[in-house]
Amino acid sequence: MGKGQQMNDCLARLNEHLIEHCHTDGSAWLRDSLMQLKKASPDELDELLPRLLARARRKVGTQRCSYESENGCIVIELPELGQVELDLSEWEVADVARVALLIQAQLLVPAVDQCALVERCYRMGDERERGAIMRGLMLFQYRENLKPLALMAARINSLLLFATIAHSNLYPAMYYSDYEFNQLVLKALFNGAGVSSITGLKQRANRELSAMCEDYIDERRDADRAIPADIWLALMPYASERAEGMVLAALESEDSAQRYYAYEALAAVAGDRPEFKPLLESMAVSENTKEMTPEFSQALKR
Amino acid sequence: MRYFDPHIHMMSRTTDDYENMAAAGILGVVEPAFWTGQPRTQAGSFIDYFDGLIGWERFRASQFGVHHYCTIGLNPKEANDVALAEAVMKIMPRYLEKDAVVAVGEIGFDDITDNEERFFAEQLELAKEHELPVMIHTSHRDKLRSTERSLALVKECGIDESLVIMDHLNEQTLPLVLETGCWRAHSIYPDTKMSEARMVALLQQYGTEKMMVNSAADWGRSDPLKVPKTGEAMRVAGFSEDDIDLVLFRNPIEFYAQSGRISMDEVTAMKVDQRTVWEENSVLRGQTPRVEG
Ligand SMILES: [Zn+2]
Repeated sequence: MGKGQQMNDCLARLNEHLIEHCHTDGSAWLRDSLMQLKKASPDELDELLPRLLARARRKVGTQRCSYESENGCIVIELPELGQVELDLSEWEVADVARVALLIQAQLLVPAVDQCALVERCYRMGDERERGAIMRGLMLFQYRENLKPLALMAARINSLLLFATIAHSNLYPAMYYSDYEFNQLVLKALFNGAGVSSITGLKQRANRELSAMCEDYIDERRDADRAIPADIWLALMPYASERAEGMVLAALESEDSAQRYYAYEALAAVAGDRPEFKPLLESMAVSENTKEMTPEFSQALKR
Repeated sequence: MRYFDPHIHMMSRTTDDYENMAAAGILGVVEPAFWTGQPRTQAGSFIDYFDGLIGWERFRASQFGVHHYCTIGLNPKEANDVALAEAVMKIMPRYLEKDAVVAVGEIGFDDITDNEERFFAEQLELAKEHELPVMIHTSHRDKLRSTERSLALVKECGIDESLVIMDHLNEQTLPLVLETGCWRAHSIYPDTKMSEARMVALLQQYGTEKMMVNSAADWGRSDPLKVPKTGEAMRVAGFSEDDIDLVLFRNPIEFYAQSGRISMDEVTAMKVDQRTVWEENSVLRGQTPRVEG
């Protein structure tokens, strides 16, 4: 199957998804807009595309794509990657519409302009348009060349945009170097966005990241400030002996979030570290006497 | 009590202001594009400024539970730099499409020059094309004549008067606007222009229809709490809670709702999105934390 054909299929799959989650007016608007794009001359496209992207949220709505039964994920066939499961649980239908418009527009311009087109739309977009582009990164042609854009987007102070690249997005795990990935994780700890929703954190964890987290904990403790509870997830896989002690200590914390993430961090490595198993099993008993979030009690049952 | 400040330049205000405004019951604001204290030298400065209005400032407001909308326009002072003004007119249309933009503004006269009139008229046309309301600033000097000429231009351009706000009105200029279908806005300042007491007197004399009040607070001496303070003055003067709600909340939203991008329903006390909260506050508190297996 050719690349263009695959992108057409991808587009069709997104449209299908949109139609399921969108009121009829919204999907009719998108169908009509995609048709307008196809008919546009190159000059018209430059003018039409930003206008459609800007209007999309007012036209298709703001409802979330996620719904219980499907876990918010869809499977899409992508050039070079084959079948990829994408987590759309954080997406609004407007994100789907915007990404569909961009995929269609990419198909209409020469290959050399395809990334520049996405970059131009990013620069002209408001925060939600930019967020939609970040969420759609995996779906664009020549996506690997869009990394500078993703790195720039993550420099924003607005957590709304930051979260679109950091959370539930396969792109960083797939294309970032260790250094870039670690910076993203650290920034998510630092700005409060959190790391538990970073896709591929467990697979991309590395020694350097654990060391950075350990330093960060020291810094917070020196400043007498709280440690973000989910830091244990990023720290544990390659933790030093000293850092491991911190995770074990967090199991005893008064804060149930600290205990929960310490538990999850240890459970994630328990396959290679059987010595943690009795400890984790005893948690299931001792936690029962304490106040617990539903997620924690679910984790303990696993 | 709920309030809405339909004209305030938050980019030049501090986070303390946001906190105090939210505590005083201000649920939302409109931040009109204006000048930044000195003339800009290039169109790129406008792009970054407009981007800030629809992006960062909007996010900043949300962190304090304040809904933030803006207007986009070329202010009359900078309309006198023709080459720059022409460049800005070219970038405006794409901003007028954005969700956060509820009107064209603030536009109008400053020195009442031909160039000011040209770009004022062109922007009225843009508003018509984009089916957006317009916010017209009446100048501090020569206010009566500037108001008359603005109203004449509105008539000439043929834009529906119910889509127009005349702003910064006073005892002299309000009667002129009352003869039209335009909405009437008043900026309450600490020591110049309009005061709470004078505003209350205007409301007593002319009623509450299409009337609104704003702080127009910026980087000059101004007070971002003038809307709730006017509410207090109205209460003391015997206005009903419903009158206060009409002038200081429903009227401005009803006006801007003509853009289709703001509604009474959405300007409610904002549940601060946990993900948009900073630093000490965990974004995961009370939210389902998701962890990969
Ligand atoms: Zn102003």
